[in-house]
Amino acid sequence: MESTKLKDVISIQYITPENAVFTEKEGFIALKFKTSDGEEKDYPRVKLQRNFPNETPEEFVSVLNKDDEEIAVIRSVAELDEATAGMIRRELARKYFVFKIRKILSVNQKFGYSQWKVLTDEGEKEFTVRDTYRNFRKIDADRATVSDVDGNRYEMSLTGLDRPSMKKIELYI
Amino acid sequence: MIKEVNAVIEVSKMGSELVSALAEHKLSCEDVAVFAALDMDLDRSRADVYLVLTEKELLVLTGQTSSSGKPGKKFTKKFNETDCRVYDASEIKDLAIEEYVSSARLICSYKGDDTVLAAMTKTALRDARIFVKYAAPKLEGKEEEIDEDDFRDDRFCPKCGRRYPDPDRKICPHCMEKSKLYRRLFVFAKDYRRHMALVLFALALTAAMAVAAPYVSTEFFYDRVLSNSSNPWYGRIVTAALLVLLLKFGSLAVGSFSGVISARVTAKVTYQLKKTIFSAIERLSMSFFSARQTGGLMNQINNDSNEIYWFFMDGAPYFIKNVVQIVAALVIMFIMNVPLALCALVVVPLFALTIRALFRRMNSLHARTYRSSRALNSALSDALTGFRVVKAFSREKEETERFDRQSKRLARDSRSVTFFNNTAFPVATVIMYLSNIIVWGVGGWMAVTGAFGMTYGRLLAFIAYSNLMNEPMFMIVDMAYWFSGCTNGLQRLFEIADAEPDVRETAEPETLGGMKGSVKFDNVVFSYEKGKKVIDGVSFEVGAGRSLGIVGKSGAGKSTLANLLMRLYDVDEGAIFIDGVDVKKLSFDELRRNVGIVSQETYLFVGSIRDNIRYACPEATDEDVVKAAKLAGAHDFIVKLPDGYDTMIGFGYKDLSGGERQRVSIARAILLDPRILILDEATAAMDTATERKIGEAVNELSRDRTVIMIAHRLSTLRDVDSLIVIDEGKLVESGTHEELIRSKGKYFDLYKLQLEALKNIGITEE
Repeated sequence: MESTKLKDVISIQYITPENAVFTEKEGFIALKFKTSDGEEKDYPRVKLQRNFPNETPEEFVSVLNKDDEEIAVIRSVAELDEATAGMIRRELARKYFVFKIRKILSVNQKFGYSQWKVLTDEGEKEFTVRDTYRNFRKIDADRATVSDVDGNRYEMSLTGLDRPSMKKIELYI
Repeated sequence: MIKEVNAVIEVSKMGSELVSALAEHKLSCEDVAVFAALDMDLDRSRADVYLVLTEKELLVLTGQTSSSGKPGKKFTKKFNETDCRVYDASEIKDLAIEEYVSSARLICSYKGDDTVLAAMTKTALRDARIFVKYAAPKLEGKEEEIDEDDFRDDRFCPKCGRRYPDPDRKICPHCMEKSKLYRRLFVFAKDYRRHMALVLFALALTAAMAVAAPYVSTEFFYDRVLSNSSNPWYGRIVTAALLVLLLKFGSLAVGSFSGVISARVTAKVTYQLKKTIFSAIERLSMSFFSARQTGGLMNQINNDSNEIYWFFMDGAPYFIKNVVQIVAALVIMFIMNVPLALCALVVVPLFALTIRALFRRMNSLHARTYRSSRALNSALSDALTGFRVVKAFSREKEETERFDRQSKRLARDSRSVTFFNNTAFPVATVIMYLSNIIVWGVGGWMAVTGAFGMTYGRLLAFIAYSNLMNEPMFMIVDMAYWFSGCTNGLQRLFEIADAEPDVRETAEPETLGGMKGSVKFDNVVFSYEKGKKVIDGVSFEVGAGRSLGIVGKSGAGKSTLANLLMRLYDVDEGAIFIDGVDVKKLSFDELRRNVGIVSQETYLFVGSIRDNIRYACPEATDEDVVKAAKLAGAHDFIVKLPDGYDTMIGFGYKDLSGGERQRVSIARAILLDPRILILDEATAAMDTATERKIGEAVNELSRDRTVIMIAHRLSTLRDVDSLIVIDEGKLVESGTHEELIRSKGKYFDLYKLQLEALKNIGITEE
């Protein structure tokens, strides 16, 4: 079993231009990483995980290996060079993709479920929400999400919705 | 080999659109080994995507399905292919699904490169998982045994073919027969048939008297008693007053009478309903409780049965009475004067619509108030439960502000409810008066001109009847809302009553006749959730009277092994034997009388310590109880309590420490005197000295019984005969302590780590 030093456990290992090189291929991100001991490591596939997905989606992004162990943390995506930032943003967009609701066509309560008919960026969608109060979540003053029975998540901008749409979800806000 | 899989994937399930799409690629159904339908293309737009695995290739067909014709009649679907990717099956490795926040993708290593094969929303995830389950071994040239469950398409309503809104609850809101629910409820009430008939009769009588009253107090009084001296009733004012009084009292008496009876019947029926539900719940398997939160479940049952109670107590009787009243009033109005009745009716739709809108608004206001009151309550309980933390970090001011904010919100919402009540309903009343004014105007003209035989008294009676018709509207309009709440509650309750336990007792159990206590796990596979194996091919044996330690990281599946042996869940594959008999063939009674468990989560019921210890065998003598407590190391602390064994514990009573609770639960298990005793982290909350003492007691116990100990502190397991190491659901090592140390594997690592930790604080293992 590897003996882990206390320092490694409690200090944050940040990604810097010097210690990391990201490459992208066919929707997968690879990383060459130099640890604090100067050891070069090759990760053919890394995963990204936002630490604060709601508040600061572009800051504190963990880079994980295949087994979900953290390699290092990106302090801020904006601080990376343009090409790398683009790569990271594409990967984050893939992973954190949610349907964006533009218009709510109808919400019907029926036997403890609510049936939603909405217009998203990807076209019209119908889904069912169980226990609507619990699955409707207001993230901040503007954004709210609702999760359906299959675990799909839908996001909406509260200021971006029109009056009739707002009226339909008023109760859950 | 392909044939076998084909037997399960019926051609009909593939859909004609896919069959014809495959024909264009010169493939027939027989070529297909595994297929799945997904719902998203790689750009995340909605699309129909088919994964088709043949002997040689994997096809990913992307396109849109269009349908023509009406369902049932000449309904055809056509798949318009926009893209087809073909992969060489022999080059595909490591097929896997990567789950994202709201979507997932199917990836693999193709010709050595990581490749994305397809994307999907979480709706299609189950199908994709099944695809991987069968396709992955197929790609390696192996054959996965077919689990019929995977292909039983039970996500769609068999009646209308629509997808169930909730895959875990097989209820189709479109096909649910409400009448069936109510018929079932009346089965509970069938013993009270005579009572119910009486209630109905009383209600009809009340309505009849309510309808008669205005006639006597208006038309009869004005046109006969006060005017028209040739009338035999002329001048008999006292008689008329008495008649009115009699009617009022009569309807009051009949009303109270029916109230009393229906209160009795309804209370009894809801009581029976609750009883049925509760016994149904106790019968159900563990998995039911994990799928639904237990606290929420009990709450739900209470709320639902209350809703049903009030519906039948308040809702239904008044509804019946009001309907009778409206119909009777209408009939009388039409008999009295047809044109005027029509006039009075003009306003009714307007009135009904207004009330409906008002009620909707009121319900949403109420819902909002309810929500803020819930938020306030949780803020309050948060701050009070976490009082120590609030103090320690000196956050009193912030907590007060938080409370204040919620409190203000509630005040604001309650105010708007009151404001609404005080403004909106007078508006509705005004609309109701509108109909009165019309009747006054038109009727007044009729009375003055004497048209349609209108008299003054009759006009007054007429107005009284139109009010009689309008008033119940307030209630009837809200009825639909009430009714749906009740139906919903009934549905949920019957659903629980109908739920089938997954772990079923065999009809003809084998009896062991004196269990010896040998345990054998044979290639056991188990998953709580489909596709995520928690236990993967575990086999081991414990001889009767021997002891076994199970070691592993938290979440490795150790406790699951205990749950499986107890048959709280059933194994998916493989089998578990006690004395050579499959546990599935033993009766629950025999199994659970002989297998005792002390688990991590100790639960003590409200009651005395003595009652808690003899929970499983209430007939035990006090001597047995004390003996068991002594063995469990609980006796010493119990006798120190002022009330000794009679000390009340559990929710709301004396709070025992974690270690004390564990000792009481060990005593409970010891008293049962099981042949097989499972200790699942049973000593984790105790200090080392107490643990050692209990260790000795366990040694004492294990002399004549089988003991299985689960622990992550290795020192707990120092005396067991043999050990197994579980890691991620797999058995990785087994043997005695010495053997495992020698082999320098996972156990050795763990041992070294814990030894080092002890060394750090200056302790060395002897």
